[in-house]
Amino acid sequence: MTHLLAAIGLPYIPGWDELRPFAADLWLIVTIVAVLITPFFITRSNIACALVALAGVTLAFLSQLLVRNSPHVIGEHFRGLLVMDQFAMLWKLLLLLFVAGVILMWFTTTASNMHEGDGPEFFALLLSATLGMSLMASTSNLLMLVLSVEMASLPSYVLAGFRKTHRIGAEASLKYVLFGAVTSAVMIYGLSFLYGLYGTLQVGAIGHAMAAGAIGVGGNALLAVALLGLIVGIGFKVSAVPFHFWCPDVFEGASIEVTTFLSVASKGAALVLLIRVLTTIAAGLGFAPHAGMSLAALAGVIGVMGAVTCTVGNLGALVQTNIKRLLAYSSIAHAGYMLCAVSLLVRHKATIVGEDGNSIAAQAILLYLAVYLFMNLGAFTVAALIYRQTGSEDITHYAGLSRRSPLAAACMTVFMFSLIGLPPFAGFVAKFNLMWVLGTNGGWWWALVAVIGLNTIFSLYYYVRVVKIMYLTPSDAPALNVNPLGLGLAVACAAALVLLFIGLAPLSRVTTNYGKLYLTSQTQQQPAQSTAMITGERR
Amino acid sequence: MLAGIQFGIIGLQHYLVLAALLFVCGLATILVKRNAIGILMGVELVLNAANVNLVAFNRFAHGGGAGPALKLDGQVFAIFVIVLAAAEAAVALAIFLNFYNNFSTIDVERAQNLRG
Amino acid sequence: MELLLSVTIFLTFGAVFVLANLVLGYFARPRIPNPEKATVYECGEPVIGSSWVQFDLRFYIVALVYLIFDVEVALFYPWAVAYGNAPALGDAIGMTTSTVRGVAIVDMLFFFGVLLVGFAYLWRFGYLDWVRSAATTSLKVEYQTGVDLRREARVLREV
Repeated sequence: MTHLLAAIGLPYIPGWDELRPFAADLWLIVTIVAVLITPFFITRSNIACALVALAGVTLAFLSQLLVRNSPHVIGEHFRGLLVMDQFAMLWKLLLLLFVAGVILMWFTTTASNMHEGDGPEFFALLLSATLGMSLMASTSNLLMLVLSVEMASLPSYVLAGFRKTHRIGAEASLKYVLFGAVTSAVMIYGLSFLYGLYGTLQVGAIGHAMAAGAIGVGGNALLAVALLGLIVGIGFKVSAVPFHFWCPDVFEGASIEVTTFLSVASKGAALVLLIRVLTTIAAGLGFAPHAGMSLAALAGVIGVMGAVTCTVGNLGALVQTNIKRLLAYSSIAHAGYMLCAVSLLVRHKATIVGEDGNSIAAQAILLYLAVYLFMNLGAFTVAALIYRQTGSEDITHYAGLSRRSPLAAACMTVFMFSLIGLPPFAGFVAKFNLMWVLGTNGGWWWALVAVIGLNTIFSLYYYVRVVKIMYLTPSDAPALNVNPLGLGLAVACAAALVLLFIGLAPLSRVTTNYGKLYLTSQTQQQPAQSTAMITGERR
Repeated sequence: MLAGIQFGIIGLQHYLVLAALLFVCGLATILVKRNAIGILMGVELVLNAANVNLVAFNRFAHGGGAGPALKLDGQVFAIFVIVLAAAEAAVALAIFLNFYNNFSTIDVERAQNLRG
Repeated sequence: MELLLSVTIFLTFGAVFVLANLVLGYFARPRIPNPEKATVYECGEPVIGSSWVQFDLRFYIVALVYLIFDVEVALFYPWAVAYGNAPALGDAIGMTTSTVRGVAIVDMLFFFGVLLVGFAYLWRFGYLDWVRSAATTSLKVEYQTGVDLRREARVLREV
């Protein structure tokens, strides 16, 4: 036994220096436990738990702000299980900000009619999913990849069906869990081949091992299975096109704050994870094609997937009348735009990923997510406020909103125009930046720019239709007495969109500074013997 | 420790074929079954196929050999996948129960209120 | 010899554990004999009849709780092996055995503590009660605003 232990290597006991960069995640864990303990002491537990959750998220946000870009922080931690860099930091900040917004939204929408005693469960699930999504940005190891994706998925399945007696919610969560379980199982099967081919779970080391040698014909087939599995698993989370069927159903069936949460946090986390994995592998390969691993082909697959995704999303949205379903298709389209930018990551080194790991494409996506967060939070908040008053999610009931609640209508107009990508709102900046980054890369990426431009024209129709119904369709419905806190949240989001447009320079500077990815430079010994064994080749 | 055990002619490829068969059976179950629990069983088969792969790769290819560097990455991964499968089954069964309470069936074909 | 000792301890512990629980249960449980409890297979299901019956859904909830604690053992097992080898581990990294064990205990207690919080939550809020389960899983009971199902469940149980 003793020699067995000696063989495993020195035991590893992490110190505080290792834990400190992950203060935000640790605060989230503490908050999850605190939320579960709260009802033991307080009778009106729904509101109390919401406040505890909000306080915990705020603490996590502040502690994340205090994490500095020091050399101790940037890099791999816990023996390479987790990685921390500027890119992950900014995503965590955005995520925590967004979750705080979702909790505020909960106060204005569901707080009054949630069954007393369901609050602790709801917030424990919400924060667990947040923890998973936060860790998804920091994974550089296949095991952590699987664990963080599942940590984000499992609570989301339950959240989608949280309204127990709601038939549509039950159906939505059934579809979500079946789709999710199948895709994640296929992903794990694919990842097992990635491990088998390269003998390591570290994504960076896998990249280096890929660069080190060919793996034969059989090996290439297995590599294709592995990458297919990865694309299935992450494509499901992003709701990229062949795997997008769950998205509209789940968004319609879930309660509105859950829909809001999933629309930005879940998809954003999956995109961030995809960026991390692809860039790490591409850096390991030196951004050059190698035998059996054509980065250009991978970029092509992702680019086509992005183009198809945004087209399908926009075409699907054209016929929708339910606002949640409309925004669900819209979120598929926006995920498609961002996927287009992801296709850049795996190609040129010089222009896209600089020597210090600074990535233009990562910057474009972070900026897009930062803006998208406010647009979606705001649009769903207005939809939730109207749902609270009228009990309807149908956009025909928005008729005459400009008279019934002028401020809500004005806010919704801002969000719709921003979602289209019109100035003077930040949505324009984000989309223009994305197209510019794609365009500067030249070549086939111009096709993606054209697809995005064409899709923007499609999307005009359904976004403007909402505005048209609010302002031009007459209605004698009574004035709406909307919740002031919710209206405040919507106005804050609208103001943020205008301010981010005006304050473009600082925003772009922040995202450029934070678009840095930590790329491993270590080299891994090539496991030639093992791959030969797998592919059955004699040396 | 395991060096004394003779595995005869059974090698890595046999395990990979076994895993592939499990995977295909699981996928077929997923595609054919209309009962939600049946689909969940298919998912468990796929996960077990991944486990067989991981453990076999670890044992035959990436265990570090007889040298000083014993590696258990694949086996540890397999343990986590087992735990994960259980957690997923727990969540999925709870959701199926909820669906059953609302629809009095767990036939997934009946889940068609949401469409379009 | 050492192996024999281990097996003996294992078997003895297993036997004592089962017997002790049976004896404890004998003294702790209320004695309310009724026809259902006198049947052969006392699990709330009719003993004779078609086997194609829908089992009571409440069994599944108990099964779900069991599943979590069952699988948790899979994670405890490697931990226990490492814990047993604390002296060797300590030598390898220049720490005393007690320090290594202390760290290991804290790690495990954190993990187990989080699980226990969830379990305490289930217990305290009546998810393990038979009657509450009926209230939350059956559509025959309509939700009414302002009615605390948990309190109702507790009241019903006392009756």
